[in-house]
Amino acid sequence: MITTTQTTPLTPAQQKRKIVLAHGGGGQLTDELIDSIVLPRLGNQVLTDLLDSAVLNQNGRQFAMTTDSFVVQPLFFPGADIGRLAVCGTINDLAVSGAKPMGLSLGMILAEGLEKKVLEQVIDSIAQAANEAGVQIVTGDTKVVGSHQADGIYLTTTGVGLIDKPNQLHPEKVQPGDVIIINGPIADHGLAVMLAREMPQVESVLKSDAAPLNHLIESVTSQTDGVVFMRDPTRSGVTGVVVELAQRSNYHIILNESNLPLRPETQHAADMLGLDPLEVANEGKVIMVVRGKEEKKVLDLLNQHPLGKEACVIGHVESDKDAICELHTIMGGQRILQKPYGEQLPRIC
Amino acid sequence: MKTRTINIQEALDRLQTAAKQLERPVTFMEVCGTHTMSAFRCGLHSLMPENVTLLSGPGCPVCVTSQGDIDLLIEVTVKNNVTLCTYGDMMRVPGQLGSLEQARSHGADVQVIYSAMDAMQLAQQHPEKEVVFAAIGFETTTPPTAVAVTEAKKLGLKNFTVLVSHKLVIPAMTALLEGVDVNVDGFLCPGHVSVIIGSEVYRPIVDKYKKRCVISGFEDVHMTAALARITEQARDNQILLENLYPQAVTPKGNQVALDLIFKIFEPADMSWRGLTQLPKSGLKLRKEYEDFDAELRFGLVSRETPEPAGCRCGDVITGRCQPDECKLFSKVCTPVHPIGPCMVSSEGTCQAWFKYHQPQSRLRKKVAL
Amino acid sequence: MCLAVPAKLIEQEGKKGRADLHGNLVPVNIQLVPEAKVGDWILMHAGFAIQRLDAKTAEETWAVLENLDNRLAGDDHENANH
Repeated sequence: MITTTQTTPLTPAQQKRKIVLAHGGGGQLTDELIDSIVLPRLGNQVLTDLLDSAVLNQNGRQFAMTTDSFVVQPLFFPGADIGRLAVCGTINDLAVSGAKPMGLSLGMILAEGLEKKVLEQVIDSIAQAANEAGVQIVTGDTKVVGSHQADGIYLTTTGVGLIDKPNQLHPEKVQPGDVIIINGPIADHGLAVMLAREMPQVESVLKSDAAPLNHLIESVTSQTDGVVFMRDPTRSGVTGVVVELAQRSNYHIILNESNLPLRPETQHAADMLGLDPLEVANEGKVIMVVRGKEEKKVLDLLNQHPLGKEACVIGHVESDKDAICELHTIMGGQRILQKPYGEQLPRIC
Repeated sequence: MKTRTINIQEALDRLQTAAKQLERPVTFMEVCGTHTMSAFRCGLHSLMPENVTLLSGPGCPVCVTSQGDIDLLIEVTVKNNVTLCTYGDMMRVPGQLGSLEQARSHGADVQVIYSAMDAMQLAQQHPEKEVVFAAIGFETTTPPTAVAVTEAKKLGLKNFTVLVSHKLVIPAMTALLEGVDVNVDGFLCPGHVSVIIGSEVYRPIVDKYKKRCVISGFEDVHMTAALARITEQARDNQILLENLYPQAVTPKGNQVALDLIFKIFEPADMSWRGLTQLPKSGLKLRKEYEDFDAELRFGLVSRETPEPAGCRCGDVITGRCQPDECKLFSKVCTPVHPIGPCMVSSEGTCQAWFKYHQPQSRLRKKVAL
Repeated sequence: MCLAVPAKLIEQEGKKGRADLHGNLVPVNIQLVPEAKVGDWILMHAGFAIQRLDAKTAEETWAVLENLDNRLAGDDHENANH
């Protein structure tokens, strides 16, 4: 028998005292943390709206501001890396708020011992993504911590943008008859990262979809006012966005599983890991709520852009005021979607 | 053997037709967490005829693990300074000392793995670490554990042990049938367990207990077809063993895997949540392999710990009550703050019910209004 | 319980192999299915092949995912269907 280090057992009160990984998963547990700790202390009219970007009014003009931190492991994975992600995440949060990005900040926390070569690669990738988005990194900050205090690189990007058409987008604008459109196949990013992290021996054709969406979105919003709300389905996936949309619009939303674009390789990777593709993160997707009469126009505009070739309608808004999101399954059944708990874990049983 | 193609609409039609011709309502039970999950995910319950009920039995390995065994797992992680390797399924199950997820937030070394071999290899690569693998699951998941133990013995690993709570499906089904208050008209048998144990082992359940058994795969069409068939059997007053997953399930199962299981393990009495201690219903390592037994290595003693106060997980998995008949359900016990294991596991009946069924009945009510 | 997925064995060396899961090439331990050969369809669970699938029926399990169409086999229910 081996002698053991005695640790005091956790009392029920202690058990919930600490932050667990799932608090950062963007699901229900994250919401709970924000609602119980952040909002009571910092809440204000702008923050409490909890949209992708804050909307700031200045001299009759509207600006959007957003911030995001990136701690992804591994730093490099098929299709993207932490640098590309840091640019796309923030650009997309601005873009779905109807803002034209004006500039980005870049905060870096580096772990002592990091290879400079790695940093160069990440920065090159940031430059490449910023170039695609047509945005510059205009300010930044660098800190280094001890090798045990961080894992490689953490990045924070903040973006500011100008909103061309003020007060155009809000979940409260959603009406019955609106349709829900997505610009392409779901779940690629989350599964590419999970495979790279959990099963590095797997060789997959699956790639992260990380891409800046501002040009795609502008190509639509500059041509039509039919888009009433947008959100990028990152953590918590499509389910997270649509469930929140139902709650905030208070309408009944129907998604059609058979219309959801999903690559076979993504579906099979999700099956192997026991994950629901609807709950898996995307980094190059936008969900648009569009007035029914503008559906065709928006689809046509999206289809003309390389990032919107596979755009399609995945659902619609009904008139019942029950704030429920319902999935019509491929087999013709129904189920209600709920926001996932948090951390996505592979399941085998 | 004749074969033919069936599509989902055809399977649904057959289910509806057979249900209409039933003389009385029927209740079937699946004993497989992935069946529970698959049925809810594809919305099968919303398409079920009113007089056909599908219960979820003791088939989710997380849910049938006794409170005492869960506490043991948390205890070895928190107190013994080991590296605990677990399938993702077990991360959030609450024990008296908290969950593995919470233990990790207090500094415990808990790693989520995909295969038993990952745990064994971690021990091999890190001789300085004491690696414990939480071996849960039924017959499908046991052979990988057996392979990991065999390899560890071959390599002479001194820092790898297994905390075994592997269970056997047939004794659980039999125990259910021996119970007085459990009344089912047949079983949808678990396809992937059956890959290992074969279809013939269900024969006594059909012959002795007079319960129909239909082995089912996991796609929506598989499950609907199996339900259609078992309902047709009920309509026709037949009690048969049928294999509707023949592409994977043979009469005798996977003999190589079975031989390996019983080379490493021997049947042992095992505590089940909801079914208490059942004779020869689980597995323990044979004497030649006891160096790899975490309970012996760390002097762990499994205690009978009561279920959390008010929790009816045991009744839920034996079909004695539906989740919403438990007073804790959806009030204090939710997927974010689970009390019992059936709410923790994504394939647990309570979580599946909470996520898919409960709002579903809200939806039905709305339609009725 | 038990999540398992069909895949095609594309490489084999002793107890180890690699399976193609629709573009995901996954290492797989094949010692539980010693008769498996390159080109065979296998059922994979937690990194292990647990069964060799009949090629034809396995392809139809794929078809289920894509076309929602699958084979039901066996005489019993043919007879039972009136």
